[in-house]
Amino acid sequence: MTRKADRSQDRQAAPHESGRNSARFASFVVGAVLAFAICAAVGWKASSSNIFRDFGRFHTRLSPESFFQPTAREVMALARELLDKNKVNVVIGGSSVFYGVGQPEGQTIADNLRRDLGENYRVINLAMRGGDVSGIAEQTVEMLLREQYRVVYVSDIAVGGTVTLLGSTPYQYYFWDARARNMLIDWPARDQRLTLPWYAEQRMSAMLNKYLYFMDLWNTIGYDYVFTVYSTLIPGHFWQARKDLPDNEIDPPEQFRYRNGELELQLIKRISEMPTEPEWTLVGTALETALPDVVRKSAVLAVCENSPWLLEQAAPETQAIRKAMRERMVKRVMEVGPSSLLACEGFEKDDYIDRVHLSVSGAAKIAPRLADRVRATSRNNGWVQ
Amino acid sequence: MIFFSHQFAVFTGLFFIAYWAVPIPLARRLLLLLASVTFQVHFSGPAGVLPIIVLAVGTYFVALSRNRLLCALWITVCALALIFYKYTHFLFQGIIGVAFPDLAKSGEEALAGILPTLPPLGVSFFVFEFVHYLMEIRRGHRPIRSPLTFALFTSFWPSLVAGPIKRYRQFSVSLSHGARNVSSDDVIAGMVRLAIGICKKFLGDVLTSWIQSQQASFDVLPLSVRWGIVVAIAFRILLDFSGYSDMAIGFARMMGIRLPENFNWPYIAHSITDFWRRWHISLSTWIRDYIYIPLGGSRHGLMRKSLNGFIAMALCGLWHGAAWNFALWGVYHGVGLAIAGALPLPRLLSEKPPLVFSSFRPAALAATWLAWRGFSWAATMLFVMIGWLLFFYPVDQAFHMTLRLFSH
Amino acid sequence: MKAATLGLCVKWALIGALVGVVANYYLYRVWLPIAPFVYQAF
Repeated sequence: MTRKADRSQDRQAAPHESGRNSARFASFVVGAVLAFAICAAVGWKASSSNIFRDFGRFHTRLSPESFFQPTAREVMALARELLDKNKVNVVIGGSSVFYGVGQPEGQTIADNLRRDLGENYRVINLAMRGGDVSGIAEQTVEMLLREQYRVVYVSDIAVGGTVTLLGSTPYQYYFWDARARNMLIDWPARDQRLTLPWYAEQRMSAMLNKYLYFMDLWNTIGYDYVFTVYSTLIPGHFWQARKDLPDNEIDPPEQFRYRNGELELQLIKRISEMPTEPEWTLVGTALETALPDVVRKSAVLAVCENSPWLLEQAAPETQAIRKAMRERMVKRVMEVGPSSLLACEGFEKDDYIDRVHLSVSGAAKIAPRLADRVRATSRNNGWVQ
Repeated sequence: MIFFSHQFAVFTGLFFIAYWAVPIPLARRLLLLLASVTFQVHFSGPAGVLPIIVLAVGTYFVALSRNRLLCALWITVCALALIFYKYTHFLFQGIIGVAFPDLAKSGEEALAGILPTLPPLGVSFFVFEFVHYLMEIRRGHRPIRSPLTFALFTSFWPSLVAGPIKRYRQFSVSLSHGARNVSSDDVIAGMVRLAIGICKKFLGDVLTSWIQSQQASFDVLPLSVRWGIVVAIAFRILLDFSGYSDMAIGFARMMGIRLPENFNWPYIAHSITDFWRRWHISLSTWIRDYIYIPLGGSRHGLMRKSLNGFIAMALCGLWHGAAWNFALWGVYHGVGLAIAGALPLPRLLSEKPPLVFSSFRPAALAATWLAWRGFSWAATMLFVMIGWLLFFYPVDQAFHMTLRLFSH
Repeated sequence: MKAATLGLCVKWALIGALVGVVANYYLYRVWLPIAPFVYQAF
């Protein structure tokens, strides 16, 4: 290196400290800081009230599957608008089964349940495809309980399934968001398990969003004006405001039902043959860790068996294992608090569209059974006569 | 990637607040070193930082000795380290395994305990910078005496992950300037550059997602969409890589430090030679200075020049990844460069209007020249875009996709 | 303040504002689980 070269860069980049340069720098900094602060303020303002209109469910084009990640504040604002502190509120969670794959808007389990329960109840469907008993819906229940809402949490749980600690991976951001904002119920059993190294990034993201509201802001922009992220689920018009993209879940015509029958049959067999703990206590332990006790006491978990049409085709021993397993599931779930039921007993081929998802008729059939349990749970909690 | 995480955002925010707040040059340098070491340790991956420390310490002391033989030896050590960490699997599977599968298998098994699952973070950049440094020392330039300056040259965090590949003399000058005096111009220019880089990256991500959603059905898509995908691939890599370079250059500039430029509108190039003057400049100049020229460059006739070009470009290709398609991509460009440099027609296309038109009237001449220029640009872009297929896809698939671009 | 200086201030405040918005957007995008395209990481 040479001193000459050194001086030349100094000279080149040295601030010609005139008033104009200072003004330029000051303007730039003020502009940047102000814009950043305004973004945060608008984000805060946006999620202070409900942004969703005509909400039915977080359908695929309005969910993390298509990079729309509703925040805890946004979902709570929605819930506050749809629910009522003076009534019993039902929050539906779980997987695609209770989300309503195979059931168009207006004919979902949630819609049927709303009709069955009548005016004294409010129902909101927060289940997600690929979701779990824990996750967005359950964590929203915690927030609602903290705000003195009377809530019954209704979710599906698969036969031989268990419960993840924070919900399925795509939805875990929500837990960290709600936790950073101190909106969840304090649950030490869960907190003690939050030690995995890869949680550090999520924790940091949620902490930043707690003060800067960037997710809230860009969600609102994406919902109302323009979406900026490409999604393979909305290939032709990914930029379109998400409010303009309707729920596109369909009641699949006959030729689209049970499309993978043989594969699904093999799957049933494989699941049945999987070595499991004889008494299946795992599900109880997982529930106790993931769900605070107040949520469990107010939960209805529906053990949903696979389509009987497929099950009947399985070997007798497979069917026997399944039967034992589903009864054990109900027992284990009940032991740790929630009301549990075999929700799909007696269903027929047409009540399903595939191995696990219920059809429109299945949704209509399951709703009264759930409604009974919701009423019973409400009575037990002293909310209704 | 590493620049896209909230942990990184917080790291950057804290670092810059401290860097700008500390007015003492030595303290700034120490802070920069602390940040760079933290960055390297945090993101180093399974290989850890030890390999880089060993290579760096060796490079520092060997350079201080100014012994040409020692420098040559240590360059070999660096190159072998790069081959070991990055190319062992390829050597066994892609080369030895073709003829002697058993030998390849037992070789890989023998190395399984030593070879980390991923190479050390930035090893390609480290090695290229060390080789550059030692080559310059061999050519008689003075080494960096200060261990702190050398450590900063080695570990400077903005350019650690994806370059640009630095040159030590320019960097040392710039570093001392940045440590002494970061101007408001630097901060503004750096931030704007950073923002541009971020936008490019995100735009590139949109293209990436679109390409990924379309490529599986490439064969059955309409011809226009197939061409659309190829164009999107070309822009995706430009936006992504130049966006990353912009971010690195922007971060450095915010410290008052200038890094070499990496891109200069490569898609307006009107010849392959011109393209390589504009694309990944810090790599192409490195290849020129430390491979092509030492091999003899263009000094020993056309055949030797072409051969040198092939070797240099094949190595350039392999630098991007340990697989045959990368090597072939390099050779493909080597062929392009050889043709562009050897045949009169491409030279005419790329440089000046053919003399035969000089008797035309000026307007006709200009129009003809523009047409030639347009044609040479289109031919260059076609060559480059087909090259990207080779870069991104296995050879047979790239060949098939290329054929499908010209058939219904 | 001279008109030229005022113009300069407005221009650079707007550029600063764009940078501020990009920074905010960056924080948003980073939280989305989009698999990044990796050109060269090693």
